[in-house]
Amino acid sequence: MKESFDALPPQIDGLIESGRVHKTVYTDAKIFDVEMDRVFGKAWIYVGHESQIPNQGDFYTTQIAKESVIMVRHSDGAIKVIYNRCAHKGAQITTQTSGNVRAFKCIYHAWSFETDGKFKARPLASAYDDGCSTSDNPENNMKQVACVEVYRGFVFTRLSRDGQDLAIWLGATKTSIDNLVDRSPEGEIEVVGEPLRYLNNCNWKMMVENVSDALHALPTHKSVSQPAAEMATQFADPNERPIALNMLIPFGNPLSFFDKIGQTICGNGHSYSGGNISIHSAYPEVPEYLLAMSKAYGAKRAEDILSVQRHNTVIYPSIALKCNLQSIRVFRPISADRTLLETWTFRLKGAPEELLRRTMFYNQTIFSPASVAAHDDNEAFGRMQQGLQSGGLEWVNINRHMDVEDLNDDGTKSAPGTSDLVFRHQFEAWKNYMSSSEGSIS
Amino acid sequence: MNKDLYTTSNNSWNAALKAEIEYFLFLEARYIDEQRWDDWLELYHDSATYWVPTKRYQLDPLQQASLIYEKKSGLQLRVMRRKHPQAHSIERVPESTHLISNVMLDQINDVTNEIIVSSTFILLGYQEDHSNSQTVYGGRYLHNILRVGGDLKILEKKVVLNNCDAPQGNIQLFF
Repeated sequence: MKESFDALPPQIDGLIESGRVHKTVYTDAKIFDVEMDRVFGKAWIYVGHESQIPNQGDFYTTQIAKESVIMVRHSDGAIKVIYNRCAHKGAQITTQTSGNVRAFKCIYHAWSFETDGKFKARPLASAYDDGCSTSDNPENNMKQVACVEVYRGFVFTRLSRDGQDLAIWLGATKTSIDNLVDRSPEGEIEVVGEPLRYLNNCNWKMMVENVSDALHALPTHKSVSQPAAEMATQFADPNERPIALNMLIPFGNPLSFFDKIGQTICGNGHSYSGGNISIHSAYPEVPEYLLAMSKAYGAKRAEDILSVQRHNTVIYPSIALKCNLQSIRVFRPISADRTLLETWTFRLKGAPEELLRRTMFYNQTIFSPASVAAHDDNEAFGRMQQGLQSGGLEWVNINRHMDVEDLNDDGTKSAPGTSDLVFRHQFEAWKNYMSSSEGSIS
Repeated sequence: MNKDLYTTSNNSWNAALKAEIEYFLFLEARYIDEQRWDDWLELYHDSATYWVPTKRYQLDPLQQASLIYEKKSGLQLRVMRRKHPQAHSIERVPESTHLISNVMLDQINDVTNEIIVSSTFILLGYQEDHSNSQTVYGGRYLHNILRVGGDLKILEKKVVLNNCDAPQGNIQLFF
């Protein structure tokens, strides 16, 4: 990695200026390689949710930076994340996305490993020259990633050894996870099925930025917000409307609404949009759910939980979550111009199925590869990815509402919803990660 | 649809009915390929559901998020978007060709007037872009068709793609 970084023409510092970023941060394959090493290697990256692996030996395979890793429930009940590579000749131990094993066993020479990656057995064991007893040789173990932490069921990993503890690193976005989970009358959520997997032909940062981009909704999504509004006129009672309409009409809200939603930056590139209102605020209520909440928490606390109207929370660089809907999006970069979006659906334990139906339907309508809204986002991403190849102009503008920000009591800063403050904050964190090879994947 | 693909076919051999149903399936494909959207929607019953799951053998749509699971109003919305002048992603209009084969009558219910039909399909798509490449989808259809008077209407359509669980780029075509 260091070699390719040193060979880069522009130094990282020169790529980020006040109110603008150099186009190569989105297009350059070498910068992408350094990002995987230094951003996705040094930040806490979302692996999955503990409900995906409830039983001993349950595992789930995913990609962190350029690494295939296995999240697994070890025999002692702890969650381990190990590199998907046999300690012997290097074959991937599993090609399954998920499953259950008593031990991992390589198909090639039958080396086997405990579910924490520790060497277990191999045929004709004695002929290997270990220099010590076979089971004591650490080189015979599958490697665990450097750090794994779980916050309220959300499993994060950091490939690098050094850095802040997860809870500190999350900062104020921790309260978004809290709010999402607290919306369950039982205080627990669980994953429902596999995620929707959507390939976008663009750099990962375009997708992460788009989560907070309140300026695009109106012009980009007219082709669906207008038909939804038109169809809604057939229904006098909003509760009688097809549920999709309530989800899609707010995309066409005036820009003044999106400014009013507001946005807040939380350190380490994290942020959330909304707070008191969001495009999800006006959904019809589910009385049975309100009852279950107030029974579980008491009326006052239940109201406090449900009054949080955060639209999207970005835990930079890998996930975006919604509190009002039980939906999280995970960004898995593939190359400088290709990103996989995973959209996960969660069930609030103890809540009526209507809430699950709503989240699932939202994810299908908005985040599926067959979405009626996302194609126009993806079209914009693709045009940017192409347009940025142009030699005509060098820079990308992020100077909207420059220096318009309020300091909050908890140290976060807020700005109008259509500000570029979130983007400036993300690139500040990006520059911080990128400027030093220290602490990158060891 | 409480019946999934890959079950043993009832395969009642009724040449006239089979010809009628085949014609109906071909007609649906033709309307899509010729972009006759209103004619296409007309083939659907008002309480129709349209389902493209991400899991094979899935019976409960709440078990896992689907690529598409919606009522006729969802299809209407898709058609409205399709016709909208600012549908940016289809400014370069996608073209499709459906090939349908292996049509089999799986269940004929003379009481409810429903006919469950399974078939296989290949969908070839093209949209002018930087790569100018064609897209291929393949899989199986399950139609639940209702006879209403002299008309046939689609009550349920389930589309199981061979790669239903794979990551997908934009799915802009109608299956």
